[in-house]
Amino acid sequence: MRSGGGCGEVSNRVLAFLTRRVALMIPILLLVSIIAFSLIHLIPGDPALVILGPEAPRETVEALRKQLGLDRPLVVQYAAWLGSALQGDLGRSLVDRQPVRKLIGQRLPATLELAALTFLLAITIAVPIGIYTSVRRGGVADWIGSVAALAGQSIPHFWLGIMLIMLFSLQWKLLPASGYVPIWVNWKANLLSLILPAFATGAREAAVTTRYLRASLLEVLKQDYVRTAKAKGLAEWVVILRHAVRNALIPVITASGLQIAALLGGLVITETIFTIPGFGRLIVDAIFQRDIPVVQGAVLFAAFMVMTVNLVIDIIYSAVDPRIKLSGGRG
Amino acid sequence: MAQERLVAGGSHPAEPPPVSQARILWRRFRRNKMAIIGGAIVLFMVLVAILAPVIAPYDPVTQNYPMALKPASAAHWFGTDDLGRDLLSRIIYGARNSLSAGVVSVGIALVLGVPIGMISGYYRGFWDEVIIMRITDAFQAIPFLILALAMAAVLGPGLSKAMLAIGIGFTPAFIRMARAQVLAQRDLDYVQAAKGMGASDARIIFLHVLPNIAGPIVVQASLATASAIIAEAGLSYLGLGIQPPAPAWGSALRFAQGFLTRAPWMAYYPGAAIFITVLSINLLGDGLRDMLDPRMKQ
Repeated sequence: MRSGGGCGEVSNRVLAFLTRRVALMIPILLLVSIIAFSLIHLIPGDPALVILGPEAPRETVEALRKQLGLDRPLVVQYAAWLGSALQGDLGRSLVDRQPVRKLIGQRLPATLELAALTFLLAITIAVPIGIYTSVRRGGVADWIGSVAALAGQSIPHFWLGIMLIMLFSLQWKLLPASGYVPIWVNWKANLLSLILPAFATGAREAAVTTRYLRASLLEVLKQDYVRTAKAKGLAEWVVILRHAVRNALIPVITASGLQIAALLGGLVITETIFTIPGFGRLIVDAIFQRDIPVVQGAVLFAAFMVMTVNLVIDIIYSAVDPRIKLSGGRG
Repeated sequence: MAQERLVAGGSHPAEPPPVSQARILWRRFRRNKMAIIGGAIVLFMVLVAILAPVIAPYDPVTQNYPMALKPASAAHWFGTDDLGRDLLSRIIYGARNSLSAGVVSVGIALVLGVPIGMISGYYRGFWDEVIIMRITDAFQAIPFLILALAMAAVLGPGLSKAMLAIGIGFTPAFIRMARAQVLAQRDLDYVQAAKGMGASDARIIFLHVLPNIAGPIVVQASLATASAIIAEAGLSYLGLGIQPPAPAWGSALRFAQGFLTRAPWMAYYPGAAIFITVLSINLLGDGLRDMLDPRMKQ
């Protein structure tokens, strides 16, 4: 009975926490919608004329003005756009007349898969290096690890991507230089097509995470409870893995949340280098075609993704650190 | 006066001369060898950018088709591109565009972000917590590069527009940073004393508080400059930054991608230039941070 009541209390707390966090997301998303909506009005001059070009016939320009709702007052335009967006209708592409929602849906799986693989790769590289360099602080390994992390943070990922193509695709012919095979078509080809892009983007993420983890672990290793655990005769690796790393991970998780937006932005260029038909490529193509409804929809959706991932990270954060009650998140 | 000095000197014969704050900071900075190396490379890059017309061996935009796609030689140290242009000269001139893009973008973010953040943190209340901070949240929810791309899409391509887009993209980070610093300072004794003496709010914010929070802002600005250089190179790589035939490191990589098997050197040098510049700025930024806040040194 008691345990059942406890579980119920916990789930109520989780529900209350989620409700509060989602409620906080709403005004921010509204502001993002204003930013996305305003984009079209930042175009100097008549947006319809700029989009179609100065040679476009007057009727076509008028038709586009009407389609974009530019002939109506600004507030009415925004209200109509927001009303549609709330129902999942982000408008239609000016180029192929497809609904923006459908275009995003088509491109999202490749980006999500690449983002997940990038994140996994970054963690796989960062955690052992971060732990080892902090435990061997001041040694040669620490110096090499720290310099490598700083180099990883400084290398432009699009250059790293090109260098990886030259080495692994053109010289050694081990991995494809471009293209994407969906996982449901051929999982092996899918994985091979994503290794280089994930590594190109993940190197920076790995470097940033390594630096955070090292700094955080150095702080934790000074704590009394770590010294006590060592004094009790526990093996060094047990102290580090069981006691120190868990606590050191808390700021690292926070940092990972902040990196999600940077990662998504980075994927825009990675998808262009490796010609992956993902969400980032959709934005780049839309920008060159001045397909403003797609750009607006993509900006809104990208912000929604970032905020959702941050919400998930808040929940993980609360699970990793039992001292944090599900009350205010990270603040 | 001479009498006074003699008496003072005689009463404390072993007391060392007072050491200025600047000297203490310089001593701290000097101990960080990597920061010294980073600073030296940054200085070298700045000199290269300034002296480009003097030191570049060729005109960066003049095409020379018979010399197209030639590897490194005594005449062309970094080889030539597909239009026969000297790559070394294009990289030297490219330093001007890349460095100015980094400095100007961060300058825009500083000019917009620091005053807004400081005023917001000083006054707090509805405008700070409900308006400024939520707008900042909204801007930070949009991935920076996607925001910069979207702005570049509406403003059109070009270096000045790319710098504006990057500068606006960085502004929320500076607002947050300046606000947090002011919140930590606003209740300190020196602020209260200035208020008690009847100093105006503007005087307190910009003459008293600003010098006390300048250190973290300088560190953030230096690290943001490195990110701005990468961002500008990224926009140029996508074709939204500096437009050809003007030399730029990012667009050089875009054109190099079409010649990876025939002329790989076209990709080596522009990328290496971005990497070395950004790495040296990061080293310098880390050194400045350790110098201004030794507790952060880990």
